[in-house]
Amino acid sequence: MPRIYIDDREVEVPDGLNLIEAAKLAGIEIPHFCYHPGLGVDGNCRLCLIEIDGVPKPQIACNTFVKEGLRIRASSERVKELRRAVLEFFFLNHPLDCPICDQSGECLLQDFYMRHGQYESRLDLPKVHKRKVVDVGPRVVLDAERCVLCARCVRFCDQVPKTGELRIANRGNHSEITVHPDKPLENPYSLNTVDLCPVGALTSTDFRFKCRVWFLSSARSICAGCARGCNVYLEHNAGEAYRLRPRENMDVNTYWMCDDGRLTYKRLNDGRCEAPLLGGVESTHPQAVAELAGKLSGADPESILFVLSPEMSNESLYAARKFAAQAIGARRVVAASRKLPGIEDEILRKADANPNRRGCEVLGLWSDDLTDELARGGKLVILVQNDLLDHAPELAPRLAGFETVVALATNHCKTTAAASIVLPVTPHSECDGTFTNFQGRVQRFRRAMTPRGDAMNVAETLRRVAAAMGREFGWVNLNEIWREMAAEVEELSGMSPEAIGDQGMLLRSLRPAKDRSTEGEG
Amino acid sequence: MEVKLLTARFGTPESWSIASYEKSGGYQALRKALRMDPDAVTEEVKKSGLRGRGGAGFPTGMKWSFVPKESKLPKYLCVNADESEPGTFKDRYLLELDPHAIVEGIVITCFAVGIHHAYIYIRGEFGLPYRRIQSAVEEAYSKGYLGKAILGTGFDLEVTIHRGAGAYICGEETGLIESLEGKKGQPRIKPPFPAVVGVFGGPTVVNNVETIAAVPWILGHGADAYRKHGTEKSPGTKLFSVSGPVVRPGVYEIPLGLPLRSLVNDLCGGIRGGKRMKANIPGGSSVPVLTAEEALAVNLDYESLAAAGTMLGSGGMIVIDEDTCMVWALMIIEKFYAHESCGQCTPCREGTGWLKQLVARLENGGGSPGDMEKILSITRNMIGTTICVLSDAAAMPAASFVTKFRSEFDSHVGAGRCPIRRATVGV
Repeated sequence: MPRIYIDDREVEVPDGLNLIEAAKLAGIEIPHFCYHPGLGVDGNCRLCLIEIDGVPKPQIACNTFVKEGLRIRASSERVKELRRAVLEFFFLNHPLDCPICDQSGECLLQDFYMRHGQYESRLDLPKVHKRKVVDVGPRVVLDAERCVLCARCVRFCDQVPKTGELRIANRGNHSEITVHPDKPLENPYSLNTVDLCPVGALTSTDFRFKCRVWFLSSARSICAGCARGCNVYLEHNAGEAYRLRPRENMDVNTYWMCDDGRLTYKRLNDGRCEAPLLGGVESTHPQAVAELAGKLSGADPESILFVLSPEMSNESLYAARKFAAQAIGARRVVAASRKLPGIEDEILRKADANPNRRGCEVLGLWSDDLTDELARGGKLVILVQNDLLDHAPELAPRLAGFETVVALATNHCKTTAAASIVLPVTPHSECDGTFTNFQGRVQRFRRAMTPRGDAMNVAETLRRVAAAMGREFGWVNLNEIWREMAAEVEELSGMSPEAIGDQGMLLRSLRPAKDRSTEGEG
Repeated sequence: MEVKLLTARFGTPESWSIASYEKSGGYQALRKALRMDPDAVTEEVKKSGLRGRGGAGFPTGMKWSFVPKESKLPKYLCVNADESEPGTFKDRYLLELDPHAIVEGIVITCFAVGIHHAYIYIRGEFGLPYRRIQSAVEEAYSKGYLGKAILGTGFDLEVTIHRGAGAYICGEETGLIESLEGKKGQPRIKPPFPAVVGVFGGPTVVNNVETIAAVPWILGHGADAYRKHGTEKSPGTKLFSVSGPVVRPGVYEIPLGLPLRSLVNDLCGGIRGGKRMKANIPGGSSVPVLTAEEALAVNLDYESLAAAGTMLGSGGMIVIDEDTCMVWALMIIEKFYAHESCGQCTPCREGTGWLKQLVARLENGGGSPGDMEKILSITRNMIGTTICVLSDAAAMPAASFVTKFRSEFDSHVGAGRCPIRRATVGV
């Protein structure tokens, strides 16, 4: 690895890196707008100018690559002066409308000014005015006056969805982002332009003006919109989810996520099951648990069917499977979904709209055909996080063939409407757990918010049911479930929440032989 | 005083026709070159010391030799006929009056570098020059100087003429390439340089019209004959476009190293109406201005002008007389660069507009005492901080005007309107 010197500090950095990335590894920030690791070098913002020993003119760090012995100045007086100068140029025609700008608080122009600017204003001339509040597409709004013209959004549309809707029109200080006539920014990845935009020029129609970003807390999570499992930050405040933003994972989603996935957070807020229902009437949790325990105790295990779902976490699936087998002695346990396939493309989106079908398969629970099991009927059918009837209403008479329909549900749906016992459980925003994506990568999501109402996770709910039946069952935490799962399920061996980490871990059979022990990836 | 190597045919009847060109020895240099080894042609041009006449003055032969011999993608020549630098109109004359010299220069250059497709990127406003070069290219095709198996050799060359759409920035070589490819004309980040990645990704030579037009003369007469003119570091002749209030403005071909005083006072007949010269911009509007005193002491070659703190540039000499307001002159220059900045790099996009506004406010008598320092500080932040040199081109005149003619700027502050133009032209 080449050794370079940043402000006389020796650092060893991997070959092929540009100086922005190299400095970042050394913990030094070289401010920049236009460069983005997912979009490459464009060299237009000029904010990353640094000095190189032996080179007379300042050079842009983004287009200078490490080589042995390179000596750069990233904080010399000249470099600081240039940064202040370039920031001053940016502000020349910037409206400075931070108080009403939705980007405030996560704006790189603000951040860089605070860290590298801090000059006295010399601006005493009228500003150039440009278009404001332009709907460049159904999900993205443009304010051309705030734009720093870094062209990240233009390059994103050219390079990733390859739809090329955006361009910079006009010249000089009249330059502004625009869409091609009759071709709005509506590609299925359009909201990534909002993340990429370093300032408040592109904002999300969905998120803008909903919440000041400094009120938001952020949790590392996974998008549950399809089998890809894009790594995301789930951002929330006071129990409400506000948005999802992609979290870098080069093996899964790189830097991006799709627009549909981004809007899946709404389901975490809306139509939630918060209280237990007995016969459609709100009840208390202990009462509902006792009711279910009573039904289960009085039923022949062969007459009990568990219908799990690929929306459940691996932990919930494992807990439900074990509950059925050990606490009840039931053998009829399947996981199924009748969701129609979504659109698949070569970028991120997968047709399978479930986040954890692979997890169901690994636990031997997946069933493509539910009809036979339902046709057998019985005393109890327990549907866990499965909105079966919303996707397959024709199965309603089959469910009616059971004496009691039980739903453990996150959201109200046709299944909960058909159930006589409903227990609220937590979606992935309110508990810790893992999903296994289509690649066979087990990925962690972290609890973002406290559970709503009486909702609790599936394992805990079932532990309480078992306790009400006088049976020992359950675990105290995620690590305990994992210790057991990893020991019992071969594909999960060597895994633990810690080993899975934030970048996920492949199933054992997919890992290179040398990595089949316990170390995580990433 | 004038040495007419490239302009020798100017003024002969129908100098633009192939008949006239051939009659005066045209296309003989090509015949000679085609019998040589291509590398020997490049060597001869290197030996001549010919430097790029578009503005930067980069040695031409060296530029050619940067192009890799072997290339998977086709190699290209782009003749930069997007002459747009204010004050410069020499390429226009060459295109109008001696287009075949350009065509011949193209064939020789392409033969030397191993190129089979050349583009002439001509500015859109050039009507007559376009028609002349277009007809010259057609004539050359019909006579076998272009196309397949040129003059019975195995060398093929296609020439395409592309008309620009009116952007100064398309005269910057990579802006030109972007525009030629059908994109918005804005300079590319370098490296890679066009010699490695140019038109459609292929290695590309970009040469100015005047540079290309000098190639046949050099091959025809030899590098040594070319070096007889000019100075050691600036060999040969250069076309100067002289504009402003001189008695005989126009295009003059002079040996490099000629005193500026001779060009202005003798060839151009001095300042009209017996007025005095106040200032001189020797190389096109983007180079630092000289005071009359500096100008009258300088020689017109790359090194002398550099030593005087300015540049030879494109040889677009703008003469400024004693009646002209320097603030007004600078305002015109800054309006141009603010209009022509492609807007890609921040210091240029914002800096050009800022300078324009500040200078216009001063010219209109609305400036404040701190404006001059502000202008100087802005120019410092614009020079050397961008992808191309348009930013420098806007900053250098501003810095030099304000520094050298400070009292004129000071006299505008608080004057309510331009004090100089009120006195001279009554506005």
